[in-house]
Formats: sequence, C-alpha cells, structure tokens
Amino acid sequence: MQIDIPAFSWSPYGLIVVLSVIAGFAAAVLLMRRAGVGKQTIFYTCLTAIVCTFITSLMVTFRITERGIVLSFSGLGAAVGLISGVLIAALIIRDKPDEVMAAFIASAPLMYGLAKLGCFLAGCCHGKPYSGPFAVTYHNEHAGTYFPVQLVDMAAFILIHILAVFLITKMKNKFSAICIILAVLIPVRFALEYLKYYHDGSPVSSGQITVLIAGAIAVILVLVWKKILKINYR
Amino acid sequence: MENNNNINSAQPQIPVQPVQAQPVAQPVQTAQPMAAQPAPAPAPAPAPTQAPVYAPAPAPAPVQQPVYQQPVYQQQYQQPYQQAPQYGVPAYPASQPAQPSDGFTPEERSARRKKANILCFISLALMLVPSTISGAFSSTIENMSNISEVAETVVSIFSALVGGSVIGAWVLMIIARVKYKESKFAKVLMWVYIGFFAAGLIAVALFIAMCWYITKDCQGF
Repeated sequence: MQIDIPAFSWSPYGLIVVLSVIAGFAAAVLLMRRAGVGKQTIFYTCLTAIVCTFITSLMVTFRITERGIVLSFSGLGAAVGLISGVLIAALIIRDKPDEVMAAFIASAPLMYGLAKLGCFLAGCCHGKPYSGPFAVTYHNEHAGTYFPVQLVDMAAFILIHILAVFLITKMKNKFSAICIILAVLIPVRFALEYLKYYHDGSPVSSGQITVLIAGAIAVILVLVWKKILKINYR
Repeated sequence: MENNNNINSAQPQIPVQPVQAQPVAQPVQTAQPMAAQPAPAPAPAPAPTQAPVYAPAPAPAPVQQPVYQQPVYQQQYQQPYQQAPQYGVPAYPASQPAQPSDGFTPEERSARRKKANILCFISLALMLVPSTISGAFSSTIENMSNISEVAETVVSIFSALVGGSVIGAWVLMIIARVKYKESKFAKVLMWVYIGFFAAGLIAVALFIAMCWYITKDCQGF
C-alpha cells in the first residue's frame, strides 16, 4: 500500500498549523478547567501564550533571501515561545501555576502532532527515500517516494499527548509529571530526526543539535519557573 | 493608616481636654442641630466647619494650653475623627460610605489610575515604535540585493528586538489588566491588541486565499 499526495494549487500547511495550535489551546483550556483554574487566569494565560508562541516562531524563522522576506512557522520556536508565555503569565497571575504549566506541556505534543499533518500534505520535512509499505509519493516540488516520517511523527506525538494527559490527571506532583513528559518528548523528537531526509547519517546532525538546544531551553525555563514560583510538593 | 494609628494612640493621652472644652465652648449650639437630625447624610460636612469653633475654645480653659503646645495633637485635633465623638453623633460612620465599593480611597484610586496609564502608555510605545521603524525600513531591507552575513545578523537582531518589544507590549498590557482591573485604558488597549491580532490572522488567511485564487486562474501559463 502506497500513499499518493497530489500537487495542491495552494499549500494547506498554514491552515493546518493554525488549526493545530487552536486545537492544542482548546485541549489546554479543557485540562485547566478540569483542574479548577479560574476563567480569568485561563484567558490571560492563553493570550500571553498564544502571542509568545506565534511571535517567537516568526522570530526564529524570519530571514531575508534574494526573493524577499521569508516568514514561516517553527515548531521548536513555538514550543519555546509557549513555555515562555506560560512562565510570564504565571509570574503575573499566580493562580495554580503548576496546573496551568502542566496543561500546556501536555497540550504541546498535540499541537506538534497535528501540525505534522500539514507537513505530510505539503511534503516538507519528508523522510528518506523509501518504496516499501505506506511509502508516500509527492508530485510537487518535493517529488519522489519517501518514508512517511510525518505520519510517524504525528502518531508518536499524539500518543505522548495521551500519556501526558494521563500523567497530569493522575499525579498530584505536577512538576514530576512535567519532567516525565519532557523526558519522553525530547528523546522521541531527537530519535525521529534520524528518519528525516536532511539527516546526513552522522550520529548527531545539526537538526538534532537544534532539538537538544530547544529541549535544554524548555527544561531551563521549567526549572526557572519552579524556582521563581517556589513550587514545592510534600 | 499611619494617621489613624496616631490618632488612636493619641486619644488616650488627651481625651479629656477636647471633651472638656466642648461644653465650655458651645454645648447648646452643637448639640441642638445634631439632635434634630440624628443621622443625616450631610453630617460629615458640618464637622470640619465646627473645627474653628473648637479652636478658640481652649483659650478660656487654662487646662488646654499645654495640649495645644503639642503640634501632633494640634494637627490631629483638626481631624474630623476626633471631633465626631465630641458631638455625640455618628458623623464618622456616616462619612464611611463615601469610600467607593472597590475599597480604595479617591487618592488610592487616582494613584492606581496613574500607574495603569503609565503601563499602558509604555505598552503602546513598545507596540508602535518598533513596528513603525520596521515599516519605515522594510523597503530598504527588501531591496538588499547583496545579502551579506553581516546584513543577516543585523536583520536577525532587529527582528528579535521587534518581536521582543511586541511581546513586552502585550505583557505590560496584561499586567495593567490584572493588577488594575478598573483601568478602562488597559481594557480598551487589550481589545485593540486582540483586534489587531485577529485582523492579522484574517489578513494572512485572505492573502493565502487570494494567492490560491490567482494561481488557480493562471494554471497552464
């Protein structure tokens, strides 16, 4: 069985990314409401987080080429922006910050996983050449037959989201739940880089270094968040 | 609060003198109108006007002279808090409802409004100034035909500054909204920012749709 992706006259990538971000925020709102976080806290946290997510992502991808200014959406930049936004909001509104952070950390894999559907349809971030079962064929500028790494990405991150929801709803110590989620998320993202077309075969590629840097920034932000807000569990 | 505490702490020291002065000064004139209107709304108003009546009163009473030599007491003596119990009328409780329901005095409200406005103005400046500058230089940036590494670095720093200032503008607005909920400026600013953000998203969506429509018509050329 092979998957054939036609050449779209316009890329659905942007629309799917926006919808995935909306879906991720909706999941975070539901988790926060379930945890009893106030409506005002949810509103202002979402506002700060969504602005930081978009602006950080645009800042990371902003560059000038000979064809003009290029703006795109970076998943890693968005993840760092999201955690930064939640951290900033928690410093302003100190209402159940651990529940808020846990909800957003659990929703981030959902956003990323759903956004991979846009990559799958657009053909970007495709896998290495492959002709076995479930090979995906593109007819656009990425023409060729590849391993469907975007679908593997999507499945893996949605599974991590389900695991994360389970952890943050069952564990009282939200900080431990956040640490476990990050400890699963970063290695999975790192490992999936081996399947991407741009991986040069070296043990650690430049893309994987970027993943490690973004993961380290996320961990540092969470530790700073815990330290500043003095969140302790007994 | 400090004044109130001082007043309360001063009362046990000097309660006798002003109370003794009352009957000497005008016992009938002050008591009669208050008795006729036991709890009127304008009760706090006459209280300060009565203060000068009490000022000359200690003069005939020799006991009160050392009391007026104390500047602290003299200052406090002018306060309506001490005069009210002298009348035997609940003037002080009647003046309490003058405070707003949010629990702030007019001075506190004014100070809070000023702080909120400062935050909002800084937020507005952070939002507008970098956007204006980047808009003014956008044509220059786009016309850079020879993209050097230095130019790319400058552009990256510039974009980081613009992005950071926009995030700062949002954060300051949210601080103003959360800490000074009564500020209408902050409320208006919030909805303006949200409106611009939503308009930006809609504009991008329309742009994509327009591109799709044009490329659809131009297929084959």
